[in-house]
Amino acid sequence: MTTPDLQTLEALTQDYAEFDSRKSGLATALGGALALLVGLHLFHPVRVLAGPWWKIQATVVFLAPVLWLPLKQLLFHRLYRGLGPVKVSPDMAYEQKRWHWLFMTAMALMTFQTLTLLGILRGFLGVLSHPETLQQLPTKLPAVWTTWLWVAALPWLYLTIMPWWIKGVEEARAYLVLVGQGLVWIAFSFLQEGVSIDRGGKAWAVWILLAIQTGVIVWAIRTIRRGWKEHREYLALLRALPRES
Amino acid sequence: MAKTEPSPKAILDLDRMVHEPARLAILTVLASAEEVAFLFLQRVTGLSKGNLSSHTQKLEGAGYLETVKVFQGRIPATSFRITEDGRAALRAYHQQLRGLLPKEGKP
Repeated sequence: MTTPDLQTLEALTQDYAEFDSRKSGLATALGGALALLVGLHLFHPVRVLAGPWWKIQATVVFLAPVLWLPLKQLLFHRLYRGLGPVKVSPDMAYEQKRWHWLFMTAMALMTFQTLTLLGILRGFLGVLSHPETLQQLPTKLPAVWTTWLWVAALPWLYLTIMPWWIKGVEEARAYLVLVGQGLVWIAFSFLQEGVSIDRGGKAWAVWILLAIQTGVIVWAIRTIRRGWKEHREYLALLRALPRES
Repeated sequence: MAKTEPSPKAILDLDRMVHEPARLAILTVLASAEEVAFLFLQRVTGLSKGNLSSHTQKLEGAGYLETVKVFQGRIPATSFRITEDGRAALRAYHQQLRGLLPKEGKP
């Protein structure tokens, strides 16, 4: 038998349990990579509501968090569960931190939904009271019902799957960034179409988007590096385990 | 007043259920997490399946651990949890052992 000393046993168990319950390794890196892809994609200088780009961008931006969740679970089961589950000892402070990030995501989604629905309602009432403005609406706006469906259903979809699929602070943060990118994008795309940025109106919106996306890209690169580092730590942990007798 | 040396009886008073190296390793691992899978416990302690089963049965008999049987899909999986008695026994064992060891600087 090649059992390590007691301190090493403790450390190995705690480290493995961390991967089971908190750390994500390559799953976090994948979240960062998706955020990076979406971030770089949003830099593309097209009028987002015009042409077929809108549908492509909408699909990429909104599906990124939904796509990430099953992929990260798959990675977790394939890479970090090889020796079965080991539950980490409860830590209230950590759990509070995790819920703090989940709560922030929920707040962002709820605020977004409320504001968007109010905006749509206001526009609808405006058209009712001034029917002549109907012809001034951009011709390529997505159908109202499609927009309603997106706005009404998507936040709930994001929220419903969130607490069960997100295990640690890093994952909660990655999820908030991926979801947040969608919210920023849709707010910006409506704003862009509404104020016609390329005619010089309210260019500050572009700068805000650029600042947010730059922040996201910096975060994404750091997250990819952290995820990769964690993965290497996990491989080192496996190597440190005694050989089977 | 001169410090009293540990009596030989103190050595004999060590909890033998914990003192055995494999069981000490098992309890140490279990005390470091909330619940531990059989496979991980086997790998980290370096014990064979049969040996691990035998020791966990003894520890369960002493009330130091409990076995959790779960199904992962259709595959049955076994995990272990340390009980409060097990945690207390491990703590007491550490204290006893520390008391028995010579002070630093002495052979």
